Amino acid sequence: MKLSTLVWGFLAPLAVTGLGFNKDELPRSVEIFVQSVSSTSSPILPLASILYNHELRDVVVEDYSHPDLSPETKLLRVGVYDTATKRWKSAISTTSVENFGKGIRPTIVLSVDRNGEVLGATVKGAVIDAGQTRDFGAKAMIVTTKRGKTPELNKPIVLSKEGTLEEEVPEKTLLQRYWWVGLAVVMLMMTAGGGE
Amino acid sequence: MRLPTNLICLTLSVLPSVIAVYSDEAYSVDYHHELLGLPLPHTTFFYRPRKDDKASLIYTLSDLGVLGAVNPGVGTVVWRQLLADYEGLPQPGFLRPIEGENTVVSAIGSRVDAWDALSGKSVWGTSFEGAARDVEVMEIAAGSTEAKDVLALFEEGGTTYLRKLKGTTGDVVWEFKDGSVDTPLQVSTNVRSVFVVSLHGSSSGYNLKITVLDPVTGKRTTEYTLTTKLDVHAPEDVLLVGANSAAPIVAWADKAMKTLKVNLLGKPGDIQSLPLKDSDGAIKKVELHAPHLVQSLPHFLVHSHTETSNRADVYHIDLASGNIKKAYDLPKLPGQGAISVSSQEANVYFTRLTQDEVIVVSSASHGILGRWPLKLETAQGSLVHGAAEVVQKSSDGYAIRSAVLTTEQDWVLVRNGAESWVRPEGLSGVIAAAWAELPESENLVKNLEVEAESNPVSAYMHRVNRHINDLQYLPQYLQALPRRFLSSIIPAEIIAPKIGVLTKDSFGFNKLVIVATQRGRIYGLDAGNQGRIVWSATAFPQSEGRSWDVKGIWVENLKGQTTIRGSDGEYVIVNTTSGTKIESVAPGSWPTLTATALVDSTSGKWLLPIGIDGNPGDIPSEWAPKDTIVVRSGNGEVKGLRFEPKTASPNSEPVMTWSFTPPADQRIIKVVSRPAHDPVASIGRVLGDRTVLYKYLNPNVALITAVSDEKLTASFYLIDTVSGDLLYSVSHEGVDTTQPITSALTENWFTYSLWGDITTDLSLPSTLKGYQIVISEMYESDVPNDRGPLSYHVNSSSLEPSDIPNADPSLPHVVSETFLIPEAISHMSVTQTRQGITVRQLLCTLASSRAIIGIPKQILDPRRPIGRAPTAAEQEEGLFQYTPNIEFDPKIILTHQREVIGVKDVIASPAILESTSLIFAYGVDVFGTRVAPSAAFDILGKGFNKISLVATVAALWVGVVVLAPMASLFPY
Repeated sequence: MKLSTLVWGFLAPLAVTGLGFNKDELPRSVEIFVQSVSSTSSPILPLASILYNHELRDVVVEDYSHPDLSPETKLLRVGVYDTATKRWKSAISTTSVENFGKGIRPTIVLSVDRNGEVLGATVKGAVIDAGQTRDFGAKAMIVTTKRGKTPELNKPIVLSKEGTLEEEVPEKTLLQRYWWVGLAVVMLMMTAGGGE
Repeated sequence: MRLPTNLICLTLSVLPSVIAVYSDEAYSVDYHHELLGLPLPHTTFFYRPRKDDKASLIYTLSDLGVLGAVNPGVGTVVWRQLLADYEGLPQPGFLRPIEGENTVVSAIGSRVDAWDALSGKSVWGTSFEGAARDVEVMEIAAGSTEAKDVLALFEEGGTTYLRKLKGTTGDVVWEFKDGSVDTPLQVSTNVRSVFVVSLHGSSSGYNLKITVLDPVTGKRTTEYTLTTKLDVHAPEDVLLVGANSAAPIVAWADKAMKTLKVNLLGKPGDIQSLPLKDSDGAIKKVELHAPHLVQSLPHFLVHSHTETSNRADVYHIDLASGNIKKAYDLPKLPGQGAISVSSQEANVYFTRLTQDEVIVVSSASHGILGRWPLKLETAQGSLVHGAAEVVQKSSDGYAIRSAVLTTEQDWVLVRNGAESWVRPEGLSGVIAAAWAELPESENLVKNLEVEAESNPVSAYMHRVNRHINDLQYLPQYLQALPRRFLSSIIPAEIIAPKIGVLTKDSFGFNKLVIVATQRGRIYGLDAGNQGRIVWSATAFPQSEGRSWDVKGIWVENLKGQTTIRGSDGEYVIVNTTSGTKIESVAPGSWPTLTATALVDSTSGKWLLPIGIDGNPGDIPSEWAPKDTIVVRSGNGEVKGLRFEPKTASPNSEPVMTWSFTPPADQRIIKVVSRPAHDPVASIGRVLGDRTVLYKYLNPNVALITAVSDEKLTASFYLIDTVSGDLLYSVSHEGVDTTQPITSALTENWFTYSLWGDITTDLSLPSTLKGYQIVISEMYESDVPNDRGPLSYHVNSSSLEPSDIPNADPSLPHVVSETFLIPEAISHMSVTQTRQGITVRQLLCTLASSRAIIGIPKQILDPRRPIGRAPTAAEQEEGLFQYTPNIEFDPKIILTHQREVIGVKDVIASPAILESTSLIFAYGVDVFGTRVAPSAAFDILGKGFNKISLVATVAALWVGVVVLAPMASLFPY
């Protein structure tokens, strides 16, 4: 138990720094930005660059930079931003600035549709218990759109050319059909008789 | 001791032979206003469905596009057909009877249909491109036995089409296409020719173009234009009458309403001027009434209204010379009046209804054939228009029935001057409704809340004071006591409560429903008393062709007030129990709004108007909502807004916190959230092995439905409305996006229905599609007895970090299952009970079956075992084997045999009894009922015989009294 924790503790930072994965397996990348929630326009700052494979549901934080925020910021908008067109490219969610605080490890949750297009992103934090992990960097998680469930149909009945059931029900043997007669006979024999 | 056999026999004989505690309460707990909509003057008439039978029915094609036949004797609906897709005000409709053939023909939108007049069954139906502008029955020469053909006038992209349809099958006999761009108005026929009247020119001033066609070939024989000298600017300016009479005419009034210009169809260049007399003020409106039968005398009546009075002139047409000659006039009478025409073979009768009398005259002479004083008892308002039937009983005795519409939107049948029945047709076309508590019960709730919140000593003082205060009601209470005692023994109908008195009941069944109709009227209905109309009022009368767009209706139970907000910024505040207006602001006084939201601010709750593009605008800080509000903006996104105080201003402004936009090819069609009253009794689901699956109970979730018309997909996104996080998403393929897709969200589950692929198995044909319903339940984790990342937390935040070390983000674990259903569900909602202990029932509206069903949650369970029988543990949990289809069996149909048409929405409300939920459905019709999804466990059914119970107890007591001394006489 402790050994495995230790091993993961060594390996995980490698993933975060972008060394422990194969780029071919994670063909898509996305840039996550944050912006403080206020009535006036505030700068949109890069947060992380994420590589993912929606089919394998594999995701890794390639690059993470702690956002430089003004102290009065309480809430942040999180989403995928296109610096070229200067527009948000995905849904925007809100998160508390506390998620980037000390002793908190942020998790970037990336939602993608079934084609791998990003629907939205959010950041959720949890306190770090150093006793359980040595991995203090940001981590990522991918959530994909499910395929709609279809009804669980019964098996279709396949008919032969003659219009009868393909699988013939095997005839029951004489014993299988009339076993209860034998049982009755045995019962009679055991209960009857035995007089003085 | 011996058993007293006789006594036992006697006791048993008192009991009924069948003891059923829960008798079927169908048709006693539910109520239905079977409505048609307002009858229109040109599509309402009396007609004999059987040629040889004298009995006639009233037929109408209403303003809501409902075709119906009403029994004139009692006012009940004989049959109905909903012809329009009920989306706001439908297109104009046309209805004509085929004399002597037991058929009525309707044309609305793109369809022309013939209906059996007695049963309402379709005889034939056909549809064309474009929209119907008129329909007419082609009269045939006397003596012919062939079925009469139908002429249908259509406008398709500015081109006029006239088609003759075969009377027996609806097949096209010939088609006439007018090449020029005109506005077709009407088709008329006088056996020899067919006339198409259309507007020619531009809206600055139309001329009338009359095209004359040969009835056999449909070829144009001649065409002429009538110069109107800028008197006609719109189709409504042309008064058209005598569609099938011996001498059809077209008429219009000049701008100053001084003369009436009349042309006998088929006589080019012949415009005759008839003077319109106005003695007190200018004439406001002119109506023409003429018979519709070819054999009737060619007489017509001109009915002119001024602001304060109305009068009528009767004219005769000389068929040989084509001259129009005035015969006589009906004198001027004050107020509004309704005149209707009816013909019996050659005779034409005019019936005039005024505020205080009904008179019948023949078109031939001015002698009054019958006169009755008019007495309206329940109906109110002045008369708007009517249809009449005159029957000659003896040589000089006449009987008259007229169906009249009043300004209060009641449809009244007046039989020889006396009111026979009243149909509240104004109640049809409801667009918004809300439940309201009767005021008294709320006071107690408020008092109890005060006592619960204060410290024990002051709560005790408050309680003592309240009880002393209550003593003043003691005499009334004592008076009512015998009645209450009796009513609990004798069936309630015998000592029914007084009609017209709103009384609260201990079960909480007596509630009011406040509804607003698209014609700008509001009603208060008593749900506990068969949906009786308690009050009605006109809020904002709508002009013809416009529908009131109500954006919000909010009942403030503590104040006893109801606020209704419309889209043009208008609002009205009325007293909930009496309907009296407290405040009313006309349209246009406030900015346009697209929605409303009930919000909680530091100054209390209120109905926040949300303007264009989902922007509520700046609000004074003390009225700003405390929580995030969710709005839909114009460009297809859903946004979360939070109000933040503006610097150096007393106002707060909305700041966007999150926004959800679906992928570019998808459009959002629906957003649902959990109902405002959605209590959850148990936080977990106990499994058969005594472990617990914890429910994901986030109150701030919304389910967004988005469809892609290109890729034929329907996607459902579950989002957290505080943070905007996407919690879960699912997409279905091969979906027909034009079919109804509807959804509901409550407790820890959501459901939706659609029409799409039912298999992803590539070996099966991909054309396998069907209606399906998908149920999804959300749990905190997939492992029983484990709350996943939430762990021991009672509350968790959608924004703040978790203080559980190294916890993953908390996302719901969703279990789904899909079932096939036999037909489309057009609307879904969920029952509500007081504490949420009762299992919820999914209320689904079936538009094609005209029914509302309640699907039990036990059937819609995604944990049902598939392909095997349930284990003992699963059985204990209440699970049974999965079947791929759900049959809508008659037991789950809440409307029973009633046909509820045009349902837009179904709203539910809890009763005081936990077992029961009150249901109210509205649209064209109004329907209400009570449901008990987990059976009525806290109330005795109607079938429970209290008398026999009391009698049994009394008999046993008598037995004991009699036998006790006897037993002591014979010691053992």
